Amino acid sequence: MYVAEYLGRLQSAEEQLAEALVAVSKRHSDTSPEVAMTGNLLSSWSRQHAAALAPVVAHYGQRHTSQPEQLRRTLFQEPRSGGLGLLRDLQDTSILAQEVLLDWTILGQAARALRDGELQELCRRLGAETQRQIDWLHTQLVEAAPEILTVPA
Amino acid sequence: MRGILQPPPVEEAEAIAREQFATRDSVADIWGHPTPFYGEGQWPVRVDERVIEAPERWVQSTCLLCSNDCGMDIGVKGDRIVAVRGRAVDRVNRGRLGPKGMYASFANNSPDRLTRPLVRRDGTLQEASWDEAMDLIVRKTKEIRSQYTASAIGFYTSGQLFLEEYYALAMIGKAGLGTPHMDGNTRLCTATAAQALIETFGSDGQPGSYEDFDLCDTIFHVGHNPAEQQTVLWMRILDRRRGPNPPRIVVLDPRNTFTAQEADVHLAPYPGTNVPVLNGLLNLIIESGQIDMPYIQAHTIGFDKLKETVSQWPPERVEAVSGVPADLLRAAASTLGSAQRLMSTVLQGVYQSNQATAAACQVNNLHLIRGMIGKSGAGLLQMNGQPTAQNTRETGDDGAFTGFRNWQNPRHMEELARLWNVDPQVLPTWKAPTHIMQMIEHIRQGLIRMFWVTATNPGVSLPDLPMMREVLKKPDLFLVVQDAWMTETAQYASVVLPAAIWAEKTGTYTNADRTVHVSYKAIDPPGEARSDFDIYLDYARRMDFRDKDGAPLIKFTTPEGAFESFKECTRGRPLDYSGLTYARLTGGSGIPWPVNAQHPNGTVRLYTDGVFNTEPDHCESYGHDLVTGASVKEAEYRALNPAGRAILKAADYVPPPEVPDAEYPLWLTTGRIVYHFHTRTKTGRAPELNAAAPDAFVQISAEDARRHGIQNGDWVEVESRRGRVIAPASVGHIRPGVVFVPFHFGYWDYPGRPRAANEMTIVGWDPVSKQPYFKFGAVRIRKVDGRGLTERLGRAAEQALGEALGARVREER
Repeated sequence: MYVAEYLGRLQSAEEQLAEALVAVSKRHSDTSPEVAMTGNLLSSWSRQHAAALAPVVAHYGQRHTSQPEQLRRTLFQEPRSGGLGLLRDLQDTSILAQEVLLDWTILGQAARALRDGELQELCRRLGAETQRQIDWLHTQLVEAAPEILTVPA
Repeated sequence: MRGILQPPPVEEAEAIAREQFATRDSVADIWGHPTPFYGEGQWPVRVDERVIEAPERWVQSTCLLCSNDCGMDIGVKGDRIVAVRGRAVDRVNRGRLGPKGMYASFANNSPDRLTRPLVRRDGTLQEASWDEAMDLIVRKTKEIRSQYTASAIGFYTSGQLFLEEYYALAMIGKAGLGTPHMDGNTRLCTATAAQALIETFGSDGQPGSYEDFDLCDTIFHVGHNPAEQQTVLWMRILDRRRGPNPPRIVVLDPRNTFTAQEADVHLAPYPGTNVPVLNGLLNLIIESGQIDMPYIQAHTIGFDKLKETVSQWPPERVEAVSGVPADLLRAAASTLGSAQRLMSTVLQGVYQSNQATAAACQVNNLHLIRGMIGKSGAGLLQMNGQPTAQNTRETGDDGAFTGFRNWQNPRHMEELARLWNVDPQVLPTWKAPTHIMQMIEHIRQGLIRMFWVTATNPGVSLPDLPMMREVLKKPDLFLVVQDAWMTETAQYASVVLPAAIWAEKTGTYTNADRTVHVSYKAIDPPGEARSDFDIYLDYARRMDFRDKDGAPLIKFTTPEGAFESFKECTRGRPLDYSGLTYARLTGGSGIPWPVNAQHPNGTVRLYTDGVFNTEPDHCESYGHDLVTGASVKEAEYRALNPAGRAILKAADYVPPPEVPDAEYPLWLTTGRIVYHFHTRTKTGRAPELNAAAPDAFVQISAEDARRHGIQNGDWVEVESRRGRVIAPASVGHIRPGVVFVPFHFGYWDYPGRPRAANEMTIVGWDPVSKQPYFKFGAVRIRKVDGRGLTERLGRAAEQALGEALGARVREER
């Protein structure tokens, strides 16, 4: 059974997403207070998600994987600034968030097969919040992209 | 349909009323003699007037000094305003006027009006001809557009122009240039009103009516201080309070305002905690069963989620977060829950605070779960601040598209393109219209290079003024300021265009309960000043904007022609103006929209049938996540299947982004006082109002005053992480831990010391409505030595603020 594999993966992915959101918020706080404010809030959601997995981990165990961390490090190799930097940061954060969402979906499927109603509900509820994080990132990208890409600074 | 276009009241009554109440000192007697009443349409006539000299003629107009838009006649002698008089026939005021209308309406006559265009040459603003000024603007527009695209051009307007002017500019910006950067200072005052109405009901448009105050049994003022903001509406409420069956009043406000002093229950939360308080009220009301379950089931979606969310907020938890005592919250819930006819109003205490849209939507929710909407005496007004704010929203000069159209709905955009006879691709529909704070950031980053400001004063009214001054004086910015006076902002301009104002031009505007009025030109503008309408049309002609058949884009030449064109953009939309004409608005009362074949006499209240504008092909927006601000996608919205039902949107509490700490231990909140409007451009030029409220002040509680050794009248310095203000202390009438500074006072008439509240406010905004936060922030205070203060600070301020006051040297562009 590989549930423990995915629990470790998900917990780590949420932590990496939280870290990325905090870093992006901090980096762009001067030019985009909205990204900073909501980014910090959404980062706290990911930290809560990671913490909410504790009882599940206690039941199924957990195998640590450094893959999400490697993914984050690969995506965010150097600090970026300016409009284009903001776009790249939001886009790469979206990739991390997509990873988290898929992990919730996959774990949710396992919960169904295991007839674990509590875990199913957790995956549904927290996965829905991950979707809200993704929707926010998408809205920010859609709003910011045209000006940054087409107007010469 | 009651109360609209009634025959004029009996002339005798009018004459008696005028005899009795004319020319009161409305500085001392703000609301005037009471005329108690009860019953819809029963508010007695009371004609207020102020006559300096006997007028030769009276001209029909509408007061332009708050969002009430009271019917007003202008008395003219020669070419001067010599009198104002409330229009007895008007549904909004029944003859009354407030202090701002009675005194500041004479500001047209002030000697320091701008009378000639100014162009910056050799670092200073110098007089120029209209041709020189307009040719320069056109040349810069074309240069910037060809080098950097139209997305390098931004427009920032007002809540003070007329509908026809906004509409002409909307065509210029959206169909002429095709820039997404258009906003109004309505972003600071009513963006949240519009957004909250859209999120819940599917479109902008106030559900209720002022006539609901005539019959209601309970009033809930949420972050709204009508006693000072809309004095004439407050007269109506006071008259109900003094008459039979007086309504109970519940007020939510951290300050003990005039409005709060009249309340039966006053909830005074810490700044930034409206959502916990409102969730707490909804929770108690749902728990008590005082809800209209059949209405909820038939006319709303989302109740289960709302119930689950607010159930997390028992009174004790609300008290812990907001400081509102649990028993007081219960008393308020019991009052609101037992109301049979509940009327609510919301304003800046919600709109400019933390979680603005989320909180405003909870007031919508209160009315929906109690079925208190669309019936006499029961309704709500997400209030406006400025007299023509509604028209900025209707015409598409702010976050909206013309005619409450949904920019994410291609069919709506094709329809608008068809109405204007342009290629749909011309319209900037790739994103939401850019909000002002984002425009400021674009200027800061050099993306917006031309910024055209009309009838507003961002140099005083936007947050973080130290930052704002840096932005306005950027050397690579071509700044056009169109105003009637040399405002703090105009000092930075590359070109200043002298504008004709109210009473010097004809047009229409719409108030906070959808009532449309006409205002006729009574006098000529001073010198070479031109109406904003004429300036915009002149610009369009010189730019040679064309439609897709090669004809001029703007085909109308008069305000009435613009009104007729706009009417076609509203046909079939929620704000249908198609049944209105200038002729119908002349002679009688203002008329509330929609006015069309179905409602030929206008519409007192919306949603009487419980059918809302949420149908996906009809709605103004697919809405947002109230907490994150993420857009809801069309497919998701369709899946919700609102089908004409209102959407109960729930939101949990998110703490404000800045809270007091050890270094800055107090809350700052900002707001208005009864005698002034916006940045005092007009009210500061009314000697009576200026004398009544000549300067800023720092309001603190007696506890905080004691702690800092401060007494009434002592000089106090208030400092935040952005900047500081020095002003005399005013002790009392505010909850401990909170400092209030009025936002009106800037530097045009008093450059001696930092006194604009926005020196201290934070750069941040509501994630949904993008309305900036003016109602919270962290500050510290200290008493300062008053001796020689003016002299010493005068010199210091000269260095710090000098550049803001016209001493700026900039390369001629």
